[in-house]
Amino acid sequence: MNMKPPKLAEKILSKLQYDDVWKTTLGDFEEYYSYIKEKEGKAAANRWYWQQVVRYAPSKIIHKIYWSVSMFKNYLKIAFRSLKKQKSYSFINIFGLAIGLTCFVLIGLFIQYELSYDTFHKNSDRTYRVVAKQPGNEYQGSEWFALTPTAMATTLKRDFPEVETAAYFGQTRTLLTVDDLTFNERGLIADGDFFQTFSYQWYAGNSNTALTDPNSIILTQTMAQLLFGDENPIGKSVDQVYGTGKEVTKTITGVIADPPKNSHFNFRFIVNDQTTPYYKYNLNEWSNTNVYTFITLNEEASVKEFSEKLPGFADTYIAASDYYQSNPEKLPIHELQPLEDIHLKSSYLNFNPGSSGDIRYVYMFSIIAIIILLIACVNYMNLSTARSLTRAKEVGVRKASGAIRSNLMMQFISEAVVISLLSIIAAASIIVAFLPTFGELVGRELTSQVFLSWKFWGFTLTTSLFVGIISGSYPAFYMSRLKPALILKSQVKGGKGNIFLRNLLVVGQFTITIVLLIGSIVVFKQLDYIRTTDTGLERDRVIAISTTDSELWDRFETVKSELLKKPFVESVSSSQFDPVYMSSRTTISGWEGSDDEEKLQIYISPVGFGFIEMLDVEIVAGRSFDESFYKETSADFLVNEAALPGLGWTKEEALGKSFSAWGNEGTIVGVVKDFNFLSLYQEIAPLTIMLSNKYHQRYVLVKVTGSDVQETITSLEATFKEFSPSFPFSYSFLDDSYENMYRSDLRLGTIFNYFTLLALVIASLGLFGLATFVTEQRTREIGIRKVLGADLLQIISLLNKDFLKLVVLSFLIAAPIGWFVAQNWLQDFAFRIELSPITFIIAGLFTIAVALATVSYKSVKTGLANPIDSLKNE
Amino acid sequence: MKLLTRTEEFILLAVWKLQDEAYSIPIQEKLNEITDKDWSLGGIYMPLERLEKRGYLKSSLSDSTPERGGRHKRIYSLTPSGKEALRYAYEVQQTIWSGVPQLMFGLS
Repeated sequence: MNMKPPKLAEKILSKLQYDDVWKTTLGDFEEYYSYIKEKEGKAAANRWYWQQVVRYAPSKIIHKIYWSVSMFKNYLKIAFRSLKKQKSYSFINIFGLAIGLTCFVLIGLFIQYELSYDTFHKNSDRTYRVVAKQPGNEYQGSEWFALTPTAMATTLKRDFPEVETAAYFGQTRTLLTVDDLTFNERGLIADGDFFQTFSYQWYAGNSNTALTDPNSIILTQTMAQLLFGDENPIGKSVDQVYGTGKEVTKTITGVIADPPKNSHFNFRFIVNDQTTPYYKYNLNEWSNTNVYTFITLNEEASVKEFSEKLPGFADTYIAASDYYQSNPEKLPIHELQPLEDIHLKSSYLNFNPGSSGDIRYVYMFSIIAIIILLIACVNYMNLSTARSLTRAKEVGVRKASGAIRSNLMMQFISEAVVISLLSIIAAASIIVAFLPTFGELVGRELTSQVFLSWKFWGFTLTTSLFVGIISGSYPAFYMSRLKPALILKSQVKGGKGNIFLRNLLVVGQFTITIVLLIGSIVVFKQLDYIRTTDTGLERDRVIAISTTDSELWDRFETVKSELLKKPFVESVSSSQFDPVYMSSRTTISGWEGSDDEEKLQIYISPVGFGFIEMLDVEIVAGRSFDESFYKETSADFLVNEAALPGLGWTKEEALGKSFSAWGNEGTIVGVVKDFNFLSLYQEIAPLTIMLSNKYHQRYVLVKVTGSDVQETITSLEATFKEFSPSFPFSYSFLDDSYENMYRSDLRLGTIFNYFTLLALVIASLGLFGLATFVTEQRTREIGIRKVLGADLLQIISLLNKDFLKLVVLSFLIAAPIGWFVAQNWLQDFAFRIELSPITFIIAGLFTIAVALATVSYKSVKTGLANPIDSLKNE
Repeated sequence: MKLLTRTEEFILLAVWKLQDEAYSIPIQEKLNEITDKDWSLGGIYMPLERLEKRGYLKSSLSDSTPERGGRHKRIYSLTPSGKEALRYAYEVQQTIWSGVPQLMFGLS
């Protein structure tokens, strides 16, 4: 039979107090409990026991709180006293933790922002994008595409009841004109349940009907403001002008708030797809992928089950199209990608609309944040345990007057919490000051609005409390273990285990710091390589002016001669694509000497005369494009060396061979040396450059001389306005566009440098504190040594030796880790630097130098001191 | 010397009578027995504590038993001044009752 009183009640009572009297009382209660139980039954006994709880708990709890508060007041007082007494340690601790916390919180904000992408849509958690793998169609290193056929959305919704809403959109850039105002703007061509799938704030118009009319247009608030000022734009018309000169008049049916910045796609207007030229054709062509398809599943549906139905869907519709009838092995495989994943997890997808997030950076930054915070915590632990001797007497007295271990642990943990709370105050002011700069650094708009949210402060305070507890726990554990009798007899020496642990922590800190340093050197070198390497294309001084004005292109020869009249214009040419990123690819077959089966995927870039010369592309066989040989009837081609193996020719054989691409018949007039026309992440692929005078191009390329950039641009703009008055003038320097391609890498490099610097500062601070302490401990020894004839150098080397050993050991551990991490990162680049031992030597020497300088400051000072000062106390 | 209250007197007597078994619960039982009333456990803790503070009682911990959840008993014993206090109380009682019993029996 169970004679035990109710568990909970017993627990409450036993928690209330710890002394012996109370324990025997509880014993009495339990005995009496079983006595009542035998006499009056269990219910009565339980009732009696609970009565005791009610009777005793309140006074005991008040008693307990009263004493905890007064003890805590004492802890605080002592904490502040020892802070004041040892100002330099307090500074090192508070400053180090403040830096650590700043990094942590800033990175936390960045990560939170990254994870917030697209979550503002009402049903973002059950909205998915349909993405497709196109077997055999490898493009820029991946067979996955974010684009799907136009008919996908509506058909999915029709066929599957679990699809609640379905929408698609494509991106466009057109001119919007009202009277004499013209803007070249990014917009979406959408259809389906666009505004049911994506939630925006509506200023005017009805989200359910705004997009139904083929001629409707919805503007964002900024766009409406630009076009109409403060007038009500609803019902007004806007002319949409395509590059071909085609004009369509649209009626405004809605104004929405500007899409939030944490949205993976951005736009200033939305039009209905039904008026676009190829709408009918696209709707029936399942092999054409040109839009982004989104579906929202209803709440009961399972994504997994729904995904399993997608192959069947592809079989029914897509496999039936003519293209896949003849190429069944290429039938796409569809998958659902959660809307909230798009920003961070789309690097494998081709044609993902302008997203720059990468989950790997999120992971990497999280790791760095935690590491820096840990380094700062380690400082605290090391300094407090090192200084334990100075506090030992206090511990002894406290223990002798009755403090038990948990009291002392409480004391030292609260001391650490006080320090971390002080540092969070310092950190908060750094964060407030640096948030905009940091936001710029990571390329995100991190506004000071976060300071108004309780979540931010909650997070910050929790972090600092946590940091206090973590960094206070070891000192607390260590100090509370000291034996009072030994302390008061002054027999406590820093134990061996303690020193070992301290050294271990220092090695840990410096290992991390050196790994980070190696990382930043490698990133720096690779970025420098990207910036300065000869890609085979001369990017300097070339301005690319982008325009879709067909009237200008019709008169291009006149424009060209007009531009050449300017003294600072060296040459003028044109191209269809940005010369530093020519990403259009086609499949060719039936070239001279090939059998019917043979196919080659080749990048293609239509250019104008003078392109090769302007960009200094080297010709290895044959000739460049030449106006004197030009025939209207046949196209001229250049191919790069990388294309030759696929075509089965040597560079000499290639000359004069007939060739056809994008429906242009022609001959190969020359072979160019391989140059990077995509990014350095990829190997150089086969490429053909096609002379195209009959197409309208997209870019006017102007090579300029002279140094006054502003004047050059103004003069060019004036000329362009003359020929193309209604089109906005938009230009870029080729070397800028080139660097833009590596923006996220450059950003990474900068951020990495900062964090490495901070880690180094914090680790050095810790080392400085430790060195100060150890040197102080040995002042008397050094005094004696000096009296006995030791010189400064000997003293310094005596003091520095121990620390130097630790840093060298850290280097030995860090080098292989750094090598592995750096190698891993470099793998992404097809064109990359070789890791050289020099990198490691630099990182190692630099760290050693910093550590030596830190430690030496104190040891030189001690070495120079007059031994009398340190010995006179004896 | 300060006179004991009735409760204190009973408790000291109970402790003396119980000898080695003089801890809270038997003391309570003893009091119930003597006075034929239900004493609450809490009602004897306070006097016990007071008596100990005054030096009439001293306490020591004894073995724990399973029915007490492994907790010790607190055994009380009389100190010499406790005995002295009892003796004094008895004397006062004697003095004040002298001659009265005849009256009492006569009435009943």
